[in-house]
Amino acid sequence: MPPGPGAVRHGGGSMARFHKLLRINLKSRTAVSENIPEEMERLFLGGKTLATAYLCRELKAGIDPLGAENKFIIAAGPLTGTIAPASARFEIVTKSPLTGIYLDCNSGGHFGSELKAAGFDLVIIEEISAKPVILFIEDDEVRFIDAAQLWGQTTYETELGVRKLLQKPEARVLSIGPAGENLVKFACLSNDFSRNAARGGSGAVLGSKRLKAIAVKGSRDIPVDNLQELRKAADKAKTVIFNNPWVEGQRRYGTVRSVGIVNTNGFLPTENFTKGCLDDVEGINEIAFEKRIGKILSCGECPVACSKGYSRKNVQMEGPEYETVGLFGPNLGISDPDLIAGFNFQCNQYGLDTITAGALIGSLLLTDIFEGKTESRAEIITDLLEKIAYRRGIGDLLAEGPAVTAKEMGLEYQMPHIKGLSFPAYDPRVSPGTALAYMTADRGACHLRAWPVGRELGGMWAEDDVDSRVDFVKNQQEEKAAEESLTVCQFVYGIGLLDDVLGEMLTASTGEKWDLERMKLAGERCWTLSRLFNCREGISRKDDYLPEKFTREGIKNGPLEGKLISLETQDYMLDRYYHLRGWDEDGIPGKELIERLELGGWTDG
Amino acid sequence: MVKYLSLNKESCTGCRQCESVCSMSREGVLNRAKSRIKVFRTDVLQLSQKFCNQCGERQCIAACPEDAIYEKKDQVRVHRELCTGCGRCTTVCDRLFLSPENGWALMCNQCGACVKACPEAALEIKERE
Repeated sequence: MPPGPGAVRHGGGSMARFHKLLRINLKSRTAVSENIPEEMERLFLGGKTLATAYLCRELKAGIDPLGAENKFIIAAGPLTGTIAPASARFEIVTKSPLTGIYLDCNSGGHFGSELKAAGFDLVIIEEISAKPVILFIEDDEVRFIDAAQLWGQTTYETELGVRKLLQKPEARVLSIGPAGENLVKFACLSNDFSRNAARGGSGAVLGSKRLKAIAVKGSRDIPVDNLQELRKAADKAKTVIFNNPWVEGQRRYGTVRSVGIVNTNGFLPTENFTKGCLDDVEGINEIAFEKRIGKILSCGECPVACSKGYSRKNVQMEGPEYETVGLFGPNLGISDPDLIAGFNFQCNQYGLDTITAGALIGSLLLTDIFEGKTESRAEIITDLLEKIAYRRGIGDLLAEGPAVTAKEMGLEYQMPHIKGLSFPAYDPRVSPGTALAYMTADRGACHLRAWPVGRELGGMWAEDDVDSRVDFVKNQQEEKAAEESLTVCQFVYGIGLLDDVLGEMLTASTGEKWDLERMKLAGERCWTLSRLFNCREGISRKDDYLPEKFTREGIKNGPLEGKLISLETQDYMLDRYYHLRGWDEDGIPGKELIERLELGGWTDG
Repeated sequence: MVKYLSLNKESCTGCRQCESVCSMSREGVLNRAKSRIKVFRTDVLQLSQKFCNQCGERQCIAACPEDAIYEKKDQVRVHRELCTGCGRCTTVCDRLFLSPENGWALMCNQCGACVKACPEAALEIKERE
């Protein structure tokens, strides 16, 4: 295909990429632009997969996630910054200080497209700065700016402060708050104020590097091969998106719409994952939050605008999202929407992952931290969040995350996690497929890697048909990895590569033929690489089981009362899953698979 | 009669599809930095949208030392060949921008491409006496 009008081909390869990575060394304060070999793009597509390949190749096994040897990779995919709907996303890939294994985070807003417009597909940040610093990337120019006056400030203050300091109102800012500075192991990154790249402690990695914020401003033409074709495909994509029956409610209410649905189906974590539903969720459902919407916002190029800005008294933010409502609401026995929003706001200011914070605090409900106290539950929670962010008192232990806290306090049974990552707001006992999705997720218990539960509850498979669920989880993990490699929002496209319009947009953007199968193959490479990375850190079959609580104890109420996932079912699913993946019975990727995927040598470090 | 672009701020979600479509329609490339309409995020729940609204003051015309900004049938326009990219117009008005490539003044000319692209129907071309 001929290049579109005015399109510039960078570096002779495919379009939609700049074929450049920016390597930043914080110790020597140097920034070097390197070429990304065409072979890497062919194998790894971009975004999550490409960043994962670099992480695997450049990190040695066993390094300290908070030490100088860890690297922090930011990636924009081939569709990032284009007009593909909901494509302004970006990926963070690093080694997690919370879990000690692979971590990737995906966030929306506008940071991703701004980074792409600066002319980079990847940024690799290395070493540790001697003093707190802000990084400003403006096309080819990279500045290291003293961050002394912003160190200690909240994420919102930091974002406003950085724009003011730079005198660049268009700049997009990714920053950490006090939690990241204090190396809280589930500290998150914040951009566009309330949009967080949250799980696994990527904020602590930046804190360890004394990097307070990364600001970007780009002014390059996005190199699209055939703009006319892309516009046609993007229009088609919008039709696909609005034909997705799930989108209508999402557009009106945002993710909190799920509160009622999950509660009705009985897998809303309640009182630390003991019960599965509340008698009444009306106080905290989408209708309750709709009354509190102050402004509706959208990520770049998104026609859905699922972000509902909460506005009341002193609290203004995007959110709360479903996960936060679940874990700070029913999971903590809180039924006041304004209290939930208040905890969310507090976490945002500190730069704390709300899922981990809510789950962790839920596990303490029956301990003497809550029992027999005169303060209200809400007061205790507020106090705990502050203590965690500043590592004061008990907060210093809690800041280490669920695995360390559970061991120290003897709370292993009531503090469920997989590979050190707490569960989000869907009880894993709801269905075998959901359990397997959590058990095998690359970064620990994560709900965003496969989502079989809708189909399971919808009766797509017979009750005893476990095989189809396993096949679905494996397949969708690859599809979602591909979406996060493009990078597009997995929500609006129906969760998984369900329509070839993504291939059409990628083909029009790059000038290379991409279809669903080819994108999925990149996703399979991603899953194999992240598993190899994790195996190098000691992960194997033993780490792929549900925590004891979900194996031994049934859900205590509601339509799923008594439901649990037996060890036998878990073993059956793991056997089949490993076999489908080409991993051995201990969950280690086999030689044949590595050869077929051309991954030899990628994780030898 | 003056034609001008008008925005319903309440409806704008800040997706910036207006910016990308503007750059494609007017400059033939995809580059939000070359858009004649810009959406800034000024605070947690605040956006600020800037574009020429063909105001009555027209200080840009007086500020331009090259007579590159002029009036034609009541509309303010920029003459590309005459614009040197000195940027004086942007010191008197924040509703026009300089191209990052050559400094030329970028001013909305009411082509309406963004109106069609806005998923929230927040933009329209209006007329006033």
